[in-house]
Amino acid sequence: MKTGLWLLLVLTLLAQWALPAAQIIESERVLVRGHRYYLRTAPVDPVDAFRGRYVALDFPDARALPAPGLTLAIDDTVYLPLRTGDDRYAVLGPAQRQPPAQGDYLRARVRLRNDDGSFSVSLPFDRYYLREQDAPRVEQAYREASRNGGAGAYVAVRVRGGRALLEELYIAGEPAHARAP
Amino acid sequence: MARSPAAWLLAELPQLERDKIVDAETAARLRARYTQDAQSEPQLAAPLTALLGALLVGLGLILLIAHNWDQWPLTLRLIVAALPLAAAQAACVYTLRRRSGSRVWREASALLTGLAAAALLALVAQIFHFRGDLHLYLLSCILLALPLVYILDASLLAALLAAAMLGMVAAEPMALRQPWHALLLFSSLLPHLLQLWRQAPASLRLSLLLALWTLLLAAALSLAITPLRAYGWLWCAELGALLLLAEAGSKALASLSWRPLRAGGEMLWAIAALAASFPEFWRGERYGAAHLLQANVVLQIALLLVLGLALRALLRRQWLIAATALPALLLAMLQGQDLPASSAAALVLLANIYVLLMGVAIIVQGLRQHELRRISSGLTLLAALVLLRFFGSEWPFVVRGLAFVAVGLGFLFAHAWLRRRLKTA
Repeated sequence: MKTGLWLLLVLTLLAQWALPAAQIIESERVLVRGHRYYLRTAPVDPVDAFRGRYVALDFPDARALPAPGLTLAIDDTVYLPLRTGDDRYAVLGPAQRQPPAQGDYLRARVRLRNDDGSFSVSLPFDRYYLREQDAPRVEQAYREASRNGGAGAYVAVRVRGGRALLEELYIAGEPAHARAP
Repeated sequence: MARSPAAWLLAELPQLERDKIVDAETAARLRARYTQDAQSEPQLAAPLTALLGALLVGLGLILLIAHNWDQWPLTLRLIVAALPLAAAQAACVYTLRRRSGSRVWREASALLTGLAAAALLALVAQIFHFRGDLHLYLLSCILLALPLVYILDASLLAALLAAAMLGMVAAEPMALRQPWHALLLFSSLLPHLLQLWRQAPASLRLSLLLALWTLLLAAALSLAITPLRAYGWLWCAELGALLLLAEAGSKALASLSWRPLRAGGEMLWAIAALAASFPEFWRGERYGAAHLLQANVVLQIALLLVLGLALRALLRRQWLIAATALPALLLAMLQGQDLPASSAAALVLLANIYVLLMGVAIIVQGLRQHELRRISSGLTLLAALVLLRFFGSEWPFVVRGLAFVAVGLGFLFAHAWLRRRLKTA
């Protein structure tokens, strides 16, 4: 067998470990060292053939005004400074083309322009995976919580160096996993 | 289990000899001819079973991971997902060291490794709730598995990757979808096809993989052509002609009894030609809004290929196959032009005459070559034309009635002629 072929095999097999390992290490770093923010959300329950059942998350607060002098188009990539508001939920700052020099931020994509001049954006997290039997229950629990005028749903995300990871989904103040039997 | 025809014949031979239906010499020749066939059937069945097993195990792994075992500790889940990948990778090394001559080992180990890597990536995405960018997930899986196609000469994995490439293009957001993505992805499998071509140009493996590759690439390009509403019919006509012309020029594909490229090409070509026989086809904003020069470069390249292949067919005196390029060329010439009502009416008439002539020509060619499939294709095309005129025509009832009677009489004459030919044959 040719040496080159063996070398290619070894590199391929190593790459098959390296990519998931890099994803795990980077994600763990964000979850452990990143700052925590809360965002209001509305979950619904779809299925991914490869990665399983999840609740898809829609964020009503995922909108931002463009920074002064900035013109935005649909599908543009923007950077949104992030801070915690008085009600403890995250507040998105004006959208800008470059990451801010200081503070946490999210990398997002412009989705649509609203009537008030702001832009709705796609955030770098949009789903929360659950066991296949739990996802419909979580959606049902959210509907009941919303109907009863409760806290509804929100997520905790960890942000570090522009990388954001979803940590937990809360329904009426309780973690979604805790609601599963 | 039911016996194969070859095995049945071999079992019947002694009795046929005893009944003096065949002599000993003929029986010996039949044995020599069919023994190999009867023996090769289990040899073909065994690899298929093994490969199907590997495919099902790999897909099963992905489904098991999709269940989401979040009650297990993270480390345990990662180990459980990593074990199949480690085992499959060990199988790849074992295949290259000890079983390099076995096609089954090559195909199965490559397939399992590709699927196990995809399963591990799926688990990581699930644990950390990664954003649902399916196209990026599929791209990662494709890139991690692609080298195995070449290292292990694995065509089944290549077929699976071609399907994943189509899935990736389909999952891309519309704003990002570009034809060159599809071309770049699918071209990564071209060296494998060329390698197979050099090994055995007429092999079943090459023919099936090439057919699958072509059809999936065509589907991926169709998804990427925007706006499809403006260029859809041109693309349909181009693709149909391209498949038919390319298939007619390939000895490997033409030697197969099952010819999916021809079937796909005939269907697309007929859909475009029959659609053009409706007046509504030539109206609307479709042509006024979209010029050919503004079209995607894939449409322009495909048009040049159609033109080139049609000229080659003309030089080889393959008139009928060259004529399949006409709808694509006509649509390309008219793309972006505002058509007056009189021109539209003339084009409708032209399309009807074209389909009618093509149907008749296909039947005549089928009769000359004693090819029943071709005769059926021609008759089906004519029947479709007639039926469409019955249901969706703006022609007056009298004209339609006369046309129906004429075509019906044509069928009756054709039937009588066919019977006479078959009797004298």
